[in-house]
Amino acid sequence: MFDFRPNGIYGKIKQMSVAAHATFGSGTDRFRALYQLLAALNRASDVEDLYEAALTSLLDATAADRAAILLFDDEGVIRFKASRDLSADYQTAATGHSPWPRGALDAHALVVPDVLLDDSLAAYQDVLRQEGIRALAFVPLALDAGVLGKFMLYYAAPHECTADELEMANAIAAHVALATERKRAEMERDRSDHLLQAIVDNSATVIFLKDLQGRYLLVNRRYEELFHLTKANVLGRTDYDIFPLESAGRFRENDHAVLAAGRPLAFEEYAPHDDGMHSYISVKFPLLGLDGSVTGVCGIATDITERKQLEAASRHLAAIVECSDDAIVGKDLNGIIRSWNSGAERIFGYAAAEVIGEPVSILTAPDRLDEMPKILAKIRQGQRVDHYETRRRRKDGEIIDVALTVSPVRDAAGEIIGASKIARDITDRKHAEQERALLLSREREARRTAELLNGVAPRLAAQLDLNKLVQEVTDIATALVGAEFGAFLHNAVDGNESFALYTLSGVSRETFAGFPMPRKTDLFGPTLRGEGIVRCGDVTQDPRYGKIPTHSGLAEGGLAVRSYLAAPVIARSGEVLGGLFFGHSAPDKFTDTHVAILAGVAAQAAIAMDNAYLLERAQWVQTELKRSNEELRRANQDLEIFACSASHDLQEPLRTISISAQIIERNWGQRLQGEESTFLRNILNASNRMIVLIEDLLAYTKATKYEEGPPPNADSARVFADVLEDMHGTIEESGAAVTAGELPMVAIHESRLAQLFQNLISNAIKYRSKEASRVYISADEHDGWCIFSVVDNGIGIEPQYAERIFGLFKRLHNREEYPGSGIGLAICQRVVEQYGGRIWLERSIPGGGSTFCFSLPSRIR
Amino acid sequence: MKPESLANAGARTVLLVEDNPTDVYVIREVLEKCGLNLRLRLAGDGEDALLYLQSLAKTKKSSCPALILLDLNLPKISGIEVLQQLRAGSPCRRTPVIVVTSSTAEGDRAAVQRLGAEAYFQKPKSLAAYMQLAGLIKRVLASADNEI
Repeated sequence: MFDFRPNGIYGKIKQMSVAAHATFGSGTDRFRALYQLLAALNRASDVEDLYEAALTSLLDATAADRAAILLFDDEGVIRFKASRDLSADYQTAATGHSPWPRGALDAHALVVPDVLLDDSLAAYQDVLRQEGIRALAFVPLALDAGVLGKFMLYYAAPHECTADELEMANAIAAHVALATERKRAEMERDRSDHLLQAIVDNSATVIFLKDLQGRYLLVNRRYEELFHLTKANVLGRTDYDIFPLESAGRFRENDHAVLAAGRPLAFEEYAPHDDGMHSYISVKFPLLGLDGSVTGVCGIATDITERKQLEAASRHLAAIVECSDDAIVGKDLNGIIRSWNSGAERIFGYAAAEVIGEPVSILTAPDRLDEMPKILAKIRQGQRVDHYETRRRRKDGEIIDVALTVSPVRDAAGEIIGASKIARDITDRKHAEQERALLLSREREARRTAELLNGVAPRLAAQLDLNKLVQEVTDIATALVGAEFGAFLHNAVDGNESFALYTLSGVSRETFAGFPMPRKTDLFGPTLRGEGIVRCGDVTQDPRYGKIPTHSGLAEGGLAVRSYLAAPVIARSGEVLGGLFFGHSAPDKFTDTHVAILAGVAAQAAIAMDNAYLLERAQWVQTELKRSNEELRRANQDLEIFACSASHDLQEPLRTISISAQIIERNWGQRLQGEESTFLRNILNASNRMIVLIEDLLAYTKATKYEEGPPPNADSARVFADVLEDMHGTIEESGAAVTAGELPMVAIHESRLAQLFQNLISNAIKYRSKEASRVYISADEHDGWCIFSVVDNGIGIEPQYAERIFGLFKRLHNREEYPGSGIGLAICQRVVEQYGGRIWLERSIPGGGSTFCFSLPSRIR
Repeated sequence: MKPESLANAGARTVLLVEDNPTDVYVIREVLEKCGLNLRLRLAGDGEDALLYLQSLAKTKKSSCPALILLDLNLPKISGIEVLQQLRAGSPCRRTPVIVVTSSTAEGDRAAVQRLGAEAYFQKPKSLAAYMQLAGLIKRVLASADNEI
């Protein structure tokens, strides 16, 4: 008999082998069958293969016709697992029948040599007969834990099992039990490996194993995902192959620390991610082999980046709360103060230590006792109290205005556990608000007035016809101040103490007909003198009213005035153009607003009237200008014609005088004596002088002749050169040196510029001192003007004559010394002024030369 | 004909159209200064001048003056008109004309040139300059003689 209770699987197999050798030492068939069974069992990939191999072996090694393998299930019911040639009916019937309960420790094989003779199987007689089974044997399948199933051997005829047969069956059972158990354990291990892998892979944390050299042995899916690597890429490599040097170094350092400590350690580690560095809490522990030696490091790393951010945010929030100017107070649902920031200390005067744990009602103002319970009730319902303005009491008893925002505070589960209260001291603001409300109402009033006036301005501005404008002003103003009638009276120009009715609104003009115009009386005077707006609630009660001579007349005419309002209309110049007068038959009709409106309308009216006057004036001026321009042109033309003919007509008799005198002098000069000769000389000189004067006058007329069209650009350097050439004779004769600097382009007709140069140069040469004359012309451009300077070293001019020299026929020297009519500078002045320029004596020292300057517009670009 | 034989053939007539006695006086001197045996015929205004020229046509063509000295600013008919009519169809239309005037107008000078006057002499302010008219008269007469 085999002992099926050795103390371990391996031990059992060992025993069994020994037993097998002992029993089947000479039986090579059995040995071969057993060997074949072992080989088959080793090859078996699943339990079904094991059962098939066992059945084959049983049928080979015993005399049994049929065989089956049954195992206990979890409920302890024995069930068919494999069989040969058994009907389904039989299997159904035999299921659940076992001579030993599951786990029985002392089970032995049982043989029934003839079922017909065995009472214990009485209940199965029919089934057995039907199946054709006459004998059978039960062989237990058992391990240390006891019976786990059985082999069944079936015989068609009565059969007494041999000891060999049973031993063989027992040996097979032992192997099968062992193999089954081993297979089951294997599957169990596979399953648990799989489970572990699933857990590891599905973990949100990063899990890895490394050997002592730091080579990865295992990484989970999270690891793969985060670092975009596959297991294949990672396993066998080290951190240095995967991470930046700095991170890898740190990881390795921590690994070594764990290996050195020989126990789990937690580290904060940082690893690069797609969105930057992440922080991890890495729990690392040494990995122990079966023999207890350290084989590597295992790490479980949890990403705490978000948590760290939250912590930072939370600290930030706490700082904000602490720094807030507002009081921020936390209280529980019973109204007990739980937190108290520095803003609360400042506003309410209590230190945090004084109030935490105290009921919030210590802040209640005496007149708001019922308020806090109401707020707390709202909070309990999860409602929020927003910008609630109320009063609170400070520690020192002062009552302050505060604006409250109270919100429920919930725990993580959403339960309301208290309230946060933000209180702002609005005492100053409240005060300011009242102030502002007052200002606002004033401003609204002002704005309405301004809007009314704004509507008036464009209407008035659009009206440039003075008569229509004044009517419009009167109508608008009458409507705006709500008067029954209004009038614009304008200051009489005749200097009398009266004024003229200009326009009327609200009543017909006939109403006024026949009445004398009001004079500048006490009532009307201030308005027409421009002294400001006059308002009178009831003129019949006003002492000034009685003095109005037209009083009775107006009253009879139906214009019974009691409310009176008047404003002067004052032009920009300060001239009082007139006054706007309004009346109403009821007293006190005109308010402050009406006064404001009227002031605005009067100002607008003044502007509009000014504009209308200006336009009238401008139109008149324009017409007048056109007319006088035409006249001027005609006069100029006449003058030119006159000058031309005059020069001829005047010259003709002069010439006759001169020639006649010359004849006398030539023919009879010798005979003339004393004064006769002097007078003849006088006639000759005077007529010659007059001839020159007339010639100059003609030149001057031509110089002032209007040049048509805009002045062209003249190259002053070229004009200067031309003039030098023209004056070549004079210059050479006098030994003068005439030079110029760089000369620009100027907007002037060339012939005119030539006149300027010629006159100034010839003057400079004419009025030279004893030394040879030197003339230098230069020009300077700025601000669109060219300033020419003509410098000479001549005799100079006494400063008192600086202006006079430009006068027509003005001379400073006698004719014998310096001949000439004195027309040159006058011509220069006329020419320069025609182009908008100016000529002046810049500098002159008697005996030390002069500098003449003239300005001309720069070239037109 | 040669100039020297001209003197023997009797005085030639110069028609002076001038209203200013001073100018007449001076021009008379100028003609004397020419030394060409010239005889002065004076017309005091334009009408007088034209009537004189027409009267000549009724006699002999050869009695036309050798030269006309014509002022422009004349009473009744202006010098320009006289010149115009003379050149237009007068028998003496070939007679050389020297315009002697005080006018400085460009228009006058141009009109005179257009109407075919031989010369233009502007009356000067000085007597000495006036005497230079003699040279001009001699040149015009010489040139007219060469044409004949």
